[in-house]
Amino acid sequence: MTHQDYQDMLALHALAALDGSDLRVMEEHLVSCATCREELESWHDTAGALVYAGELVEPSPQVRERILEDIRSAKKISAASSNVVPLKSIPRQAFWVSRYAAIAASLVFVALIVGLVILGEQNRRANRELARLSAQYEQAQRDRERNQKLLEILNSPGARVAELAGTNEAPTAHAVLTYDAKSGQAILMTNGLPPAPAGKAYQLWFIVGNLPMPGRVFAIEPNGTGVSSDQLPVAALKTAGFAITQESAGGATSPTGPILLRGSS
Amino acid sequence: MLPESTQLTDANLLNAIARQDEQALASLYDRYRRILFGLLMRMLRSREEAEDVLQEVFLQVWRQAPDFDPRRGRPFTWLVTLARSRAIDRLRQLGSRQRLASSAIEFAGEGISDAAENTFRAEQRQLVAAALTELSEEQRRTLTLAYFEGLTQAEIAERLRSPLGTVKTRMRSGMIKLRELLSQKMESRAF
Repeated sequence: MTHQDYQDMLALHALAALDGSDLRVMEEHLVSCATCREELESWHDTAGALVYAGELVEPSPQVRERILEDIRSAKKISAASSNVVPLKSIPRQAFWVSRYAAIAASLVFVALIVGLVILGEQNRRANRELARLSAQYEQAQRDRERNQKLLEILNSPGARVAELAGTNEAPTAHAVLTYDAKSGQAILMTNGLPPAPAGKAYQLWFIVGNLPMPGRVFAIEPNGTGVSSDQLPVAALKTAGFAITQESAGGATSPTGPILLRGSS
Repeated sequence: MLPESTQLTDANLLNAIARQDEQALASLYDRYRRILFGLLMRMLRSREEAEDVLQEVFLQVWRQAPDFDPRRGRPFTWLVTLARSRAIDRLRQLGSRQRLASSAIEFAGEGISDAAENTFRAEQRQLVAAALTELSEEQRRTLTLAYFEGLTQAEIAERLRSPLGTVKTRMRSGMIKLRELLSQKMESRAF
Protein backbone atom coordinates (compact mmCIF):
# COMPACT_ATOMS: atom_id res chain seq x y z
CA MET A 1 0.00 0.00 0.00
CA THR A 2 1.43 3.41 -0.97
CA HIS A 3 1.44 6.55 1.13
CA GLN A 4 -1.13 8.05 -1.23
CA ASP A 5 -3.45 5.11 -0.45
CA TYR A 6 -3.30 6.03 3.22
CA GLN A 7 -3.91 9.70 2.47
CA ASP A 8 -6.93 8.74 0.40
CA MET A 9 -8.44 7.01 3.42
CA LEU A 10 -7.97 9.91 5.87
CA ALA A 11 -11.24 11.68 5.03
CA LEU A 12 -13.19 8.49 5.70
CA HIS A 13 -11.25 7.87 8.89
CA ALA A 14 -12.25 11.35 10.13
CA LEU A 15 -15.87 10.30 9.60
CA ALA A 16 -15.19 7.06 11.57
CA ALA A 17 -16.36 5.24 8.45
CA LEU A 18 -13.40 2.92 7.94
CA ASP A 19 -13.80 -0.68 8.99
CA GLY A 20 -12.15 -4.07 8.60
CA SER A 21 -8.64 -4.21 7.21
CA ASP A 22 -8.81 -0.56 6.04
CA LEU A 23 -9.26 0.59 9.63
CA ARG A 24 -6.52 -1.70 10.92
CA VAL A 25 -3.86 -0.63 8.40
CA MET A 26 -4.84 3.04 8.76
CA GLU A 27 -4.41 2.95 12.54
CA GLU A 28 -1.11 1.14 12.21
CA HIS A 29 0.12 3.69 9.68
CA LEU A 30 -0.91 6.67 11.82
CA VAL A 31 1.29 5.48 14.65
CA SER A 32 4.38 6.13 12.56
CA CYS A 33 3.32 8.90 10.13
CA ALA A 34 3.24 12.45 11.49
CA THR A 35 2.21 13.83 8.09
CA CYS A 36 -0.96 11.76 8.04
CA ARG A 37 -1.73 12.54 11.69
CA GLU A 38 -1.59 16.24 10.86
CA GLU A 39 -3.68 15.77 7.74
CA LEU A 40 -6.22 13.79 9.75
CA GLU A 41 -6.73 16.76 12.10
CA SER A 42 -7.59 18.87 9.07
CA TRP A 43 -10.18 16.29 7.97
CA HIS A 44 -11.58 16.24 11.51
CA ASP A 45 -12.25 19.96 11.11
CA THR A 46 -14.18 19.33 7.90
CA ALA A 47 -16.11 16.44 9.42
CA GLY A 48 -16.75 18.51 12.55
CA ALA A 49 -18.33 21.24 10.44
CA LEU A 50 -21.06 18.80 9.45
CA VAL A 51 -22.49 19.13 12.93
CA TYR A 52 -23.83 22.52 11.83
CA ALA A 53 -26.06 20.71 9.35
CA GLY A 54 -27.95 19.26 12.29
CA GLU A 55 -30.60 20.93 14.35
CA LEU A 56 -30.30 22.63 17.71
CA VAL A 57 -32.11 20.70 20.40
CA GLU A 58 -32.35 21.69 24.05
CA PRO A 59 -31.49 18.94 26.55
CA SER A 60 -33.37 18.85 29.82
CA PRO A 61 -31.95 21.11 32.58
CA GLN A 62 -31.30 18.02 34.71
CA VAL A 63 -28.38 17.01 32.44
CA ARG A 64 -26.41 20.10 33.44
CA GLU A 65 -27.15 19.46 37.10
CA ARG A 66 -26.09 15.81 36.83
CA ILE A 67 -22.80 16.73 35.16
CA LEU A 68 -21.94 19.26 37.85
CA GLU A 69 -22.94 16.85 40.61
CA ASP A 70 -20.77 14.15 39.06
CA ILE A 71 -17.67 16.30 38.84
CA ARG A 72 -18.11 17.39 42.45
CA SER A 73 -18.32 13.73 43.44
CA ALA A 74 -15.25 12.97 41.32
CA LYS A 75 -13.36 15.73 43.09
CA LYS A 76 -14.25 14.25 46.48
CA ILE A 77 -13.22 10.75 45.40
CA SER A 78 -10.02 12.12 43.94
CA ALA A 79 -9.24 13.86 47.23
CA ALA A 80 -10.09 10.72 49.19
CA SER A 81 -7.80 8.58 47.05
CA SER A 82 -4.86 10.94 47.47
CA ASN A 83 -3.08 8.32 49.56
CA VAL A 84 -1.97 6.59 46.37
CA VAL A 85 1.42 7.51 44.92
CA PRO A 86 1.08 11.19 43.91
CA LEU A 87 0.81 11.35 40.14
CA LYS A 88 2.74 14.59 39.94
CA SER A 89 5.71 12.89 41.47
CA ILE A 90 6.18 10.70 38.42
CA PRO A 91 8.01 13.27 36.31
CA ARG A 92 10.21 14.09 39.28
CA GLN A 93 11.02 10.42 39.64
CA ALA A 94 11.83 10.21 35.95
CA PHE A 95 14.06 13.26 36.45
CA TRP A 96 15.85 11.62 39.33
CA VAL A 97 16.24 8.44 37.34
CA SER A 98 18.23 10.40 34.80
CA ARG A 99 20.11 12.22 37.57
CA TYR A 100 21.08 8.94 39.18
CA ALA A 101 22.08 7.58 35.81
CA ALA A 102 24.27 10.66 35.28
CA ILE A 103 25.81 10.24 38.71
CA ALA A 104 26.39 6.59 37.96
CA ALA A 105 28.02 7.53 34.66
CA SER A 106 30.35 9.99 36.43
CA LEU A 107 31.27 7.35 38.97
CA VAL A 108 32.06 4.98 36.17
CA PHE A 109 34.54 7.53 34.83
CA VAL A 110 36.18 7.93 38.24
CA ALA A 111 36.11 4.21 38.79
CA LEU A 112 38.09 3.71 35.58
CA ILE A 113 40.83 5.61 37.32
CA VAL A 114 40.59 4.29 40.88
CA GLY A 115 39.85 0.68 40.00
CA LEU A 116 37.39 -1.81 38.60
CA VAL A 117 36.15 -2.87 42.03
CA ILE A 118 34.65 0.53 42.81
CA LEU A 119 33.22 0.71 39.33
CA GLY A 120 31.37 -2.56 39.74
CA GLU A 121 29.91 -1.54 43.09
CA GLN A 122 28.68 1.82 41.84
CA ASN A 123 27.11 0.23 38.80
CA ARG A 124 25.26 -2.27 40.91
CA ARG A 125 23.93 0.50 43.17
CA ALA A 126 22.80 2.53 40.19
CA ASN A 127 21.09 -0.47 38.64
CA ARG A 128 19.30 -1.30 41.87
CA GLU A 129 18.11 2.28 42.21
CA LEU A 130 17.00 2.34 38.59
CA ALA A 131 15.11 -0.91 39.02
CA ARG A 132 13.44 0.37 42.21
CA LEU A 133 12.36 3.62 40.54
CA SER A 134 11.15 1.78 37.44
CA ALA A 135 9.03 -0.52 39.57
CA GLN A 136 7.66 2.47 41.49
CA TYR A 137 6.82 4.23 38.25
CA GLU A 138 5.06 1.19 36.83
CA GLN A 139 3.07 0.78 40.05
CA ALA A 140 2.05 4.46 39.90
CA GLN A 141 0.92 3.97 36.31
CA ARG A 142 -1.19 0.95 37.31
CA ASP A 143 -2.67 2.86 40.23
CA ARG A 144 -3.50 5.77 37.97
CA GLU A 145 -5.22 3.58 35.40
CA ARG A 146 -7.17 1.76 38.10
CA ASN A 147 -8.28 4.99 39.76
CA GLN A 148 -9.26 6.40 36.38
CA LYS A 149 -11.38 3.36 35.62
CA LEU A 150 -12.93 3.45 39.08
CA LEU A 151 -13.87 7.10 38.57
CA GLU A 152 -15.39 6.32 35.18
CA ILE A 153 -17.50 3.56 36.69
CA LEU A 154 -18.59 5.70 39.64
CA ASN A 155 -19.44 8.54 37.27
CA SER A 156 -21.50 6.29 35.01
CA PRO A 157 -25.31 6.50 35.26
CA GLY A 158 -25.43 2.76 35.99
CA ALA A 159 -22.95 2.87 38.88
CA ARG A 160 -23.54 0.19 41.54
CA VAL A 161 -21.60 -0.88 44.61
CA ALA A 162 -21.97 -4.37 46.11
CA GLU A 163 -20.36 -5.47 49.36
CA LEU A 164 -19.09 -9.02 49.80
CA ALA A 165 -18.74 -10.28 53.37
CA GLY A 166 -16.44 -13.07 54.50
CA THR A 167 -18.04 -16.44 55.23
CA ASN A 168 -16.95 -18.74 58.06
CA GLU A 169 -14.11 -19.81 55.76
CA ALA A 170 -12.68 -16.27 55.79
CA PRO A 171 -14.45 -14.32 58.56
CA THR A 172 -12.15 -11.29 58.47
CA ALA A 173 -12.26 -10.85 54.70
CA HIS A 174 -14.23 -8.08 53.03
CA ALA A 175 -14.64 -6.92 49.44
CA VAL A 176 -16.36 -4.21 47.44
CA LEU A 177 -17.41 -4.71 43.83
CA THR A 178 -18.00 -1.43 41.99
CA TYR A 179 -19.61 -1.83 38.59
CA ASP A 180 -21.55 -0.12 35.84
CA ALA A 181 -24.86 -1.90 35.41
CA LYS A 182 -25.03 -0.67 31.82
CA SER A 183 -21.60 -1.52 30.42
CA GLY A 184 -20.72 -4.27 32.91
CA GLN A 185 -17.28 -2.78 33.67
CA ALA A 186 -16.31 -3.66 37.23
CA ILE A 187 -13.53 -3.27 39.75
CA LEU A 188 -13.18 -5.60 42.72
CA MET A 189 -11.28 -4.50 45.82
CA THR A 190 -10.64 -7.07 48.55
CA ASN A 191 -9.19 -6.86 52.00
CA GLY A 192 -8.27 -9.45 54.64
CA LEU A 193 -7.55 -12.43 52.39
CA PRO A 194 -4.15 -14.13 52.75
CA PRO A 195 -1.98 -14.45 49.62
CA ALA A 196 -2.98 -17.65 47.78
CA PRO A 197 -0.55 -20.60 47.96
CA ALA A 198 1.69 -21.36 44.96
CA GLY A 199 -0.34 -22.55 41.98
CA LYS A 200 -3.55 -21.08 43.40
CA ALA A 201 -5.43 -17.81 42.93
CA TYR A 202 -8.69 -16.24 44.00
CA GLN A 203 -11.56 -16.06 41.52
CA LEU A 204 -14.71 -13.94 41.36
CA TRP A 205 -18.04 -15.54 40.42
CA PHE A 206 -21.28 -14.00 39.18
CA ILE A 207 -24.27 -16.03 40.27
CA VAL A 208 -27.43 -15.64 38.19
CA GLY A 209 -30.22 -17.78 39.56
CA ASN A 210 -28.26 -20.80 40.73
CA LEU A 211 -25.75 -20.65 37.89
CA PRO A 212 -22.23 -19.47 38.78
CA MET A 213 -20.53 -17.67 35.90
CA PRO A 214 -16.75 -17.30 36.12
CA GLY A 215 -15.07 -13.95 36.62
CA ARG A 216 -11.36 -13.29 36.55
CA VAL A 217 -8.72 -14.69 38.89
CA PHE A 218 -6.76 -12.23 40.97
CA ALA A 219 -3.83 -12.13 43.36
CA ILE A 220 -3.48 -10.70 46.84
CA GLU A 221 -0.68 -8.30 47.70
CA PRO A 222 1.52 -9.04 50.73
CA ASN A 223 -0.42 -6.36 52.65
CA GLY A 224 -3.63 -8.37 52.26
CA THR A 225 -5.32 -6.21 49.64
CA GLY A 226 -6.27 -7.13 46.11
CA VAL A 227 -7.59 -5.12 43.17
CA SER A 228 -8.93 -6.61 39.96
CA SER A 229 -10.79 -5.37 36.89
CA ASP A 230 -13.59 -7.53 35.59
CA GLN A 231 -16.53 -7.57 33.22
CA LEU A 232 -20.01 -8.59 34.35
CA PRO A 233 -21.78 -10.97 31.97
CA VAL A 234 -24.89 -9.43 30.40
CA ALA A 235 -27.08 -11.83 32.38
CA ALA A 236 -25.67 -10.45 35.63
CA LEU A 237 -26.21 -6.77 34.90
CA LYS A 238 -29.65 -6.42 36.45
CA THR A 239 -29.35 -8.66 39.45
CA ALA A 240 -26.82 -11.22 40.55
CA GLY A 241 -25.01 -12.75 43.48
CA PHE A 242 -21.24 -12.49 43.80
CA ALA A 243 -18.82 -14.91 45.40
CA ILE A 244 -15.10 -15.44 45.72
CA THR A 245 -13.41 -18.85 45.92
CA GLN A 246 -9.86 -20.11 45.73
CA GLU A 247 -9.10 -22.01 42.53
CA SER A 248 -6.10 -23.13 40.52
CA ALA A 249 -3.98 -20.21 39.24
CA GLY A 250 -5.47 -20.46 35.76
CA GLY A 251 -9.04 -20.17 37.05
CA ALA A 252 -11.96 -22.59 36.77
CA THR A 253 -15.13 -22.72 34.68
CA SER A 254 -17.18 -23.71 37.74
CA PRO A 255 -16.25 -23.26 41.40
CA THR A 256 -14.43 -26.10 43.15
CA GLY A 257 -13.38 -24.45 46.40
CA PRO A 258 -15.56 -23.26 49.30
CA ILE A 259 -17.10 -19.79 49.10
CA LEU A 260 -14.86 -17.36 50.99
CA LEU A 261 -16.88 -14.18 50.45
CA ARG A 262 -20.37 -13.56 49.18
CA GLY A 263 -22.70 -10.66 48.41
CA SER A 264 -25.39 -9.58 46.00
CA SER A 265 -26.43 -6.64 43.87
CA MET B 1 -24.56 39.30 28.36
CA LEU B 2 -21.08 40.18 27.14
CA PRO B 3 -20.48 40.46 23.41
CA GLU B 4 -19.01 37.27 21.91
CA SER B 5 -15.63 38.85 21.30
CA THR B 6 -15.10 39.54 25.00
CA GLN B 7 -16.12 36.09 26.16
CA LEU B 8 -13.57 33.45 27.03
CA THR B 9 -12.47 31.38 24.06
CA ASP B 10 -13.01 27.64 24.00
CA ALA B 11 -9.27 27.17 24.59
CA ASN B 12 -9.46 29.48 27.63
CA LEU B 13 -12.32 27.44 29.00
CA LEU B 14 -10.48 24.15 28.47
CA ASN B 15 -7.44 25.54 30.26
CA ALA B 16 -9.65 26.50 33.19
CA ILE B 17 -11.35 23.08 33.14
CA ALA B 18 -7.92 21.47 33.28
CA ARG B 19 -7.46 23.43 36.52
CA GLN B 20 -10.68 21.86 37.87
CA ASP B 21 -12.81 24.98 37.32
CA GLU B 22 -16.43 23.79 37.47
CA GLN B 23 -17.78 27.11 36.21
CA ALA B 24 -15.65 26.81 33.08
CA LEU B 25 -17.15 23.40 32.35
CA ALA B 26 -20.62 24.83 32.90
CA SER B 27 -19.83 27.65 30.45
CA LEU B 28 -18.56 25.25 27.80
CA TYR B 29 -21.66 23.13 28.30
CA ASP B 30 -23.95 26.16 27.97
CA ARG B 31 -22.15 27.18 24.79
CA TYR B 32 -22.44 23.87 22.94
CA ARG B 33 -25.17 21.83 24.62
CA ARG B 34 -27.80 22.39 21.95
CA ILE B 35 -25.62 21.73 18.90
CA LEU B 36 -24.14 18.60 20.49
CA PHE B 37 -27.48 17.40 21.80
CA GLY B 38 -28.97 17.93 18.35
CA LEU B 39 -26.24 15.73 16.89
CA LEU B 40 -26.73 13.06 19.56
CA MET B 41 -30.52 13.09 19.15
CA ARG B 42 -30.13 12.63 15.43
CA MET B 43 -27.69 9.76 15.88
CA LEU B 44 -29.39 7.96 18.77
CA ARG B 45 -33.08 8.85 18.17
CA SER B 46 -33.72 8.69 21.89
CA ARG B 47 -33.78 11.62 24.30
CA GLU B 48 -32.79 9.39 27.21
CA GLU B 49 -29.81 7.86 25.39
CA ALA B 50 -28.76 11.23 23.96
CA GLU B 51 -28.84 12.90 27.39
CA ASP B 52 -26.91 10.00 28.83
CA VAL B 53 -24.20 10.35 26.19
CA LEU B 54 -24.13 14.15 26.48
CA GLN B 55 -23.43 13.73 30.18
CA GLU B 56 -20.66 11.21 29.44
CA VAL B 57 -19.08 13.57 26.91
CA PHE B 58 -18.77 16.46 29.34
CA LEU B 59 -17.46 14.18 32.09
CA GLN B 60 -14.85 12.99 29.60
CA VAL B 61 -14.01 16.63 28.85
CA TRP B 62 -13.58 17.19 32.59
CA ARG B 63 -11.18 14.24 32.87
CA GLN B 64 -9.24 14.78 29.66
CA ALA B 65 -8.99 18.58 29.47
CA PRO B 66 -5.45 18.46 30.93
CA ASP B 67 -4.42 16.25 27.99
CA PHE B 68 -5.96 18.46 25.30
CA ASP B 69 -3.30 19.85 22.99
CA PRO B 70 -4.51 22.95 21.09
CA ARG B 71 -1.73 22.45 18.53
CA ARG B 72 -3.41 19.25 17.39
CA GLY B 73 -6.86 20.64 16.75
CA ARG B 74 -9.61 23.03 17.73
CA PRO B 75 -11.54 22.56 20.96
CA PHE B 76 -14.88 22.45 19.15
CA THR B 77 -13.62 19.80 16.73
CA TRP B 78 -12.45 17.79 19.73
CA LEU B 79 -15.83 18.13 21.43
CA VAL B 80 -17.73 17.03 18.34
CA THR B 81 -15.35 14.12 17.78
CA LEU B 82 -15.82 13.01 21.39
CA ALA B 83 -19.60 13.22 21.07
CA ARG B 84 -19.71 11.26 17.80
CA SER B 85 -17.32 8.65 19.11
CA ARG B 86 -19.39 8.14 22.26
CA ALA B 87 -22.60 8.00 20.25
CA ILE B 88 -21.17 5.41 17.86
CA ASP B 89 -20.05 3.32 20.84
CA ARG B 90 -23.56 3.57 22.27
CA LEU B 91 -25.13 2.60 18.94
CA ARG B 92 -22.91 -0.48 18.84
CA GLN B 93 -23.80 -1.36 22.42
CA LEU B 94 -27.46 -1.02 21.63
CA GLY B 95 -27.08 -2.98 18.42
CA SER B 96 -29.37 -0.43 16.92
CA ARG B 97 -27.76 0.12 13.57
CA GLN B 98 -30.08 -2.40 11.98
CA ARG B 99 -33.02 -0.95 13.89
CA LEU B 100 -32.29 2.36 12.23
CA ALA B 101 -31.86 0.72 8.84
CA SER B 102 -34.83 2.38 7.26
CA SER B 103 -34.71 5.63 9.11
CA ALA B 104 -32.17 7.61 7.10
CA ILE B 105 -33.00 11.26 6.98
CA GLU B 106 -31.63 14.03 4.89
CA PHE B 107 -29.59 16.97 6.09
CA ALA B 108 -31.79 19.62 7.53
CA GLY B 109 -31.60 22.76 5.49
CA GLU B 110 -32.66 24.92 8.41
CA GLY B 111 -32.17 24.55 12.10
CA ILE B 112 -34.42 25.56 14.94
CA SER B 113 -34.62 29.29 15.10
CA ASP B 114 -33.28 30.48 18.41
CA ALA B 115 -32.65 34.08 19.30
CA ALA B 116 -29.97 33.05 21.74
CA GLU B 117 -27.82 31.47 19.07
CA ASN B 118 -24.95 33.80 18.41
CA THR B 119 -24.38 35.31 15.00
CA PHE B 120 -21.12 33.52 14.33
CA ARG B 121 -22.57 30.04 14.77
CA ALA B 122 -25.73 30.98 12.88
CA GLU B 123 -23.57 32.06 9.98
CA GLN B 124 -21.63 28.80 10.07
CA ARG B 125 -24.85 26.83 9.96
CA GLN B 126 -25.95 28.73 6.88
CA LEU B 127 -22.60 28.22 5.17
CA VAL B 128 -22.53 24.48 5.82
CA ALA B 129 -26.12 24.12 4.65
CA ALA B 130 -25.27 26.07 1.48
CA ALA B 131 -22.14 23.98 0.86
CA LEU B 132 -24.08 20.76 1.22
CA THR B 133 -26.54 21.80 -1.46
CA GLU B 134 -23.63 21.91 -3.89
CA LEU B 135 -22.73 18.25 -3.32
CA SER B 136 -24.29 15.57 -5.46
CA GLU B 137 -27.22 13.64 -4.01
CA GLU B 138 -25.03 10.52 -3.76
CA GLN B 139 -22.29 12.39 -1.95
CA ARG B 140 -24.75 13.95 0.52
CA ARG B 141 -26.38 10.61 1.11
CA THR B 142 -23.16 8.75 1.98
CA LEU B 143 -21.92 11.57 4.21
CA THR B 144 -25.29 11.67 6.00
CA LEU B 145 -25.23 7.96 6.70
CA ALA B 146 -21.65 8.07 7.96
CA TYR B 147 -21.90 11.23 10.01
CA PHE B 148 -25.37 11.16 11.52
CA GLU B 149 -25.97 7.44 11.71
CA GLY B 150 -22.42 6.34 12.47
CA LEU B 151 -22.38 3.75 9.68
CA THR B 152 -19.10 2.41 8.33
CA GLN B 153 -18.26 2.23 4.64
CA ALA B 154 -19.27 -1.45 4.42
CA GLU B 155 -22.57 -0.78 6.23
CA ILE B 156 -23.32 2.12 3.90
CA ALA B 157 -22.58 -0.07 0.87
CA GLU B 158 -24.99 -2.67 2.24
CA ARG B 159 -27.65 -0.08 3.04
CA LEU B 160 -27.47 1.52 -0.40
CA ARG B 161 -26.84 -1.79 -2.19
CA SER B 162 -23.86 -0.15 -3.89
CA PRO B 163 -20.36 -1.54 -4.48
CA LEU B 164 -17.98 -0.77 -1.62
CA GLY B 165 -15.53 0.95 -3.97
CA THR B 166 -18.26 3.27 -5.22
CA VAL B 167 -19.24 4.22 -1.69
CA LYS B 168 -15.63 4.97 -0.74
CA THR B 169 -15.21 7.15 -3.83
CA ARG B 170 -18.43 9.07 -3.17
CA MET B 171 -17.55 9.73 0.44
CA ARG B 172 -14.03 10.83 -0.32
CA SER B 173 -15.02 13.06 -3.24
CA GLY B 174 -17.84 14.49 -1.10
CA MET B 175 -15.46 15.32 1.72
CA ILE B 176 -12.93 16.89 -0.65
CA LYS B 177 -15.61 19.03 -2.25
CA LEU B 178 -17.05 19.99 1.13
CA ARG B 179 -13.63 21.06 2.36
CA GLU B 180 -13.07 23.17 -0.75
CA LEU B 181 -16.49 24.78 -0.52
CA LEU B 182 -16.17 25.57 3.16
CA SER B 183 -12.72 26.97 2.60
CA GLN B 184 -14.00 29.23 -0.15
CA LYS B 185 -17.08 30.32 1.73
CA MET B 186 -15.31 30.95 4.99
CA GLU B 187 -12.36 32.63 3.26
CA SER B 188 -9.92 33.40 6.03
CA ARG B 189 -12.25 32.34 8.80
CA ALA B 190 -11.25 28.87 9.96
CA PHE B 191 -13.72 26.16 10.86
